Amino acid sequence: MSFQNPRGLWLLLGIPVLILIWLIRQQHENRRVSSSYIWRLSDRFLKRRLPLSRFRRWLVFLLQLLLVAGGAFLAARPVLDHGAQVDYLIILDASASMQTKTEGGDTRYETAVGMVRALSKEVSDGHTMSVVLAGEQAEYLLADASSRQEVLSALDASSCGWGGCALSGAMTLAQLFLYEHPGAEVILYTDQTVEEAEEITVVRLGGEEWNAALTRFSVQQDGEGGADLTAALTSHGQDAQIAVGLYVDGRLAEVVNYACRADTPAQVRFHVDDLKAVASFALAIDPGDALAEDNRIVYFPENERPCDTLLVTQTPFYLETALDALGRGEVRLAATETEILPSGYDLCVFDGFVPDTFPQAGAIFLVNPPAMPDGLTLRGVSEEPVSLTASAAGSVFLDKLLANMTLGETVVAKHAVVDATDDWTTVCSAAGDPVLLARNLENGCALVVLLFDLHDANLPLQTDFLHLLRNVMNLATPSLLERRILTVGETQTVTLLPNAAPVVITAPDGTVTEIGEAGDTKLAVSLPGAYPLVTEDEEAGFFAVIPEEESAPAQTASLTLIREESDSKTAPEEATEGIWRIAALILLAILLTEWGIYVYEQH
Amino acid sequence: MANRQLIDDGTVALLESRDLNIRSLMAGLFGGNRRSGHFGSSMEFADYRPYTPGDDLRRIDWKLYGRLDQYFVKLFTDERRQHHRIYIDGSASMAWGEPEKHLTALRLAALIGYLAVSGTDRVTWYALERTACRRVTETVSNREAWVLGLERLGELRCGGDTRMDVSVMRCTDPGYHDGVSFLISDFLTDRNWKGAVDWLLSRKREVCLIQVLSPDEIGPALNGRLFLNDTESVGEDDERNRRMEIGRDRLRAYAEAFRWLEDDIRSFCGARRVRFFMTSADAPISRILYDGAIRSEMMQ
Repeated sequence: MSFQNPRGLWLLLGIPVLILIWLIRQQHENRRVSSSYIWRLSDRFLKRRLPLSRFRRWLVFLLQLLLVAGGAFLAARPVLDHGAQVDYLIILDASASMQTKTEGGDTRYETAVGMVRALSKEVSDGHTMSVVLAGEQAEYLLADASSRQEVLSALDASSCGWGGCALSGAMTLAQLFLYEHPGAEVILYTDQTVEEAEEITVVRLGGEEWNAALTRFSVQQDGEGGADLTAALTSHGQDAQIAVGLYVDGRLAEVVNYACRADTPAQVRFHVDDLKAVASFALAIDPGDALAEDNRIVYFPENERPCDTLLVTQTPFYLETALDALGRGEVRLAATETEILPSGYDLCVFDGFVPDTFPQAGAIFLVNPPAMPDGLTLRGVSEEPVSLTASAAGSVFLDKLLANMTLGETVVAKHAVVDATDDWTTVCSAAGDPVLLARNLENGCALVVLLFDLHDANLPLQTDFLHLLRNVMNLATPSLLERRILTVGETQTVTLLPNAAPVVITAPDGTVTEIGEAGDTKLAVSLPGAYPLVTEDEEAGFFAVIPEEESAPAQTASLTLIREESDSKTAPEEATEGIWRIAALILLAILLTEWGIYVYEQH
Repeated sequence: MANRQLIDDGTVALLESRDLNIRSLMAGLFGGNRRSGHFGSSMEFADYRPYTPGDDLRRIDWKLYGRLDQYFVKLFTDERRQHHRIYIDGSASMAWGEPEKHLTALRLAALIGYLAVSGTDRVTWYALERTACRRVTETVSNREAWVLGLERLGELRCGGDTRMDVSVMRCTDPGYHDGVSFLISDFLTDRNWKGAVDWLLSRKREVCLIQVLSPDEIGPALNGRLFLNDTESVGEDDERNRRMEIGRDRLRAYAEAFRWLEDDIRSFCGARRVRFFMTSADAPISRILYDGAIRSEMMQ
């Protein structure tokens, strides 16, 4: 038997106090009387007493002791460990950090599973066990198992993930479990440091192992075909001298040694001259640490898709020059729409012109349209020079259209002032007026509108103009992969163009996935490592890293579960209630006996 | 006048018209005014008897001789002077109460003595101390001597455990058929005080018992777990000391025991024509006289 509130046992100190008071009361006060003759004579007139009544003082005393002991017992909230059913809820941290190897050779997760296996012996004693895996998501591995074999089988089938730890989700499940099983015992096995835990037992695993990690990888192109590859190198737990290697197409190209201070990220930087000439770059360390999956990052450079463009303009200078400079395929120039049917192009750019009908595929870019498309209402023209500013992030259009743009010194001398309906996304504004907007048409085409003449702004003279056109092209011919580097647990979007050949993706564990359907295909990434893609036209790939916080065990301030007092521990409460009933019956019997003695003596 | 410590003038005034009630005709000294069982020389005619040689010729009723021609001698009642003895319990228990029972006992002894000397009787006070019977004063036969005797009475102190039967029997001059013996005590003892009464009765003395109790003996107000220490006990191990839990039941039993004790004394006295009354030590002396002494026919 254990006690939920052992402080209640302090009430037992009342017993010696009670005994002391009783002993003191047992003392006879010395009283001098003239003669004890009549007192002695009164013995024969004292009514005959029941044998039990001789012990009445003892009974009252025992009653008091029982009350004090019972009160202390109930205040301590006893829990019967044996004989009563206890529901265990095990939360297993299944995040990437739990894959860290311990000194014994097992991973932290394997150690945790071993501990749960040992605990599962109690399941055969009438307890039940439920297991929640707190990986990228928190989910039940096992619910209310009443046999040990069931638990062992589920544990054998379980595996630790490579994503983060959905601890809050697991706590939500635990709280719901506690509502249904108020007497349950919740145990969390994790490598996180929990400063304060309430109604949950935290078993911490590992945390002392050394781990070095490469994180925060980024590629910064220099505009000349080259790029800077940067990453953060962190040695968690101790100072270390770590060699970082740059691998180009799988071959070691450069090695740099970094002196890392414990838990302080060091900046790793490599320069690559020709990004497009290489299929993949990799940064790697091999320090022999406890977790290998954060020691390597592979980057597959992106090859832009060709984008056939129709340019309809009376003043083609800026646009044509820029489009040619981008080199993304053929650019057809037309003075009016009627000259060339706007079909068969990935991108149609209409400068100072609005066609009667929009193309049915690709993207449309309207520059300084004389008439506003649906959803835009012209209110007037502003001729005050103002700077161009980007809208706040949060939209797909914003991310895609403003990629690599700085908009630092872009000034617009004259722009149209419009009112836009909600289906338009404002990408850039001038003095609060939207000047670059985008929306998706009903046929799936993307429509981008620039509400000023290129001659009324310095935009064509800046690099941002090229970036804008490239981004519009990317909108028309999206990249095969949404991202080249992503984190385990995130979703990769594979965009296959119509009539394109199927894509074959090979996961780090060798699993092959083939995508043949045109359009966007979502691919859940659950394993860290390189995911090479093979298509008919190109070779590409992406890399999945583990969450940065998994390289070092995190710290959690507090975990709190609420156990409803009134329904505290169903099974133990039943046992306690049984004891309480027996105690109450005993007390009732004593009280009735006392009353009977009183009535007998009265009559 | 009267000793102020024991008795005052008002109390004495109450007794002016009172007298001791002597039931039987007793022997005594000549010169008193108590009728004796003998024929004597008083003025009160009693009877005739035939003349026998040697009789005083002056007592022959010559008028009767004229009618009957026989000599008859006139007989007159004999009036004797009685000698009363008052025994005062001097045990430690008598020094209890507020006022002390002993003080009330002494006052009663003084009043009885006054009534005695007022009736031309004589009285002697005795203190019963442990197993001894000590004469407090010389025999008092007049009021002057009574006043002087009060001072000696006032000097009496209590203490120890009195064996009433032994001490009374040790009295050097208990008297025989010549008066009343008053025994003033609380009678709260399992000693054989009844033996003393029977011994006095065997000496053909009238016996009167006066029981003086303190209020807390008549109705005790004790409660709780007590070690009752008897004033007459010797050491804590004395059997008269008793550990007792006093509650409602015990007090009820005490009341019953008290009634039983009174009934026992009354039945004992009734069987022997011994007069008895019980009084509380804090009762006014007038009430003691009227409700006790007169009602028990000890005084008239």
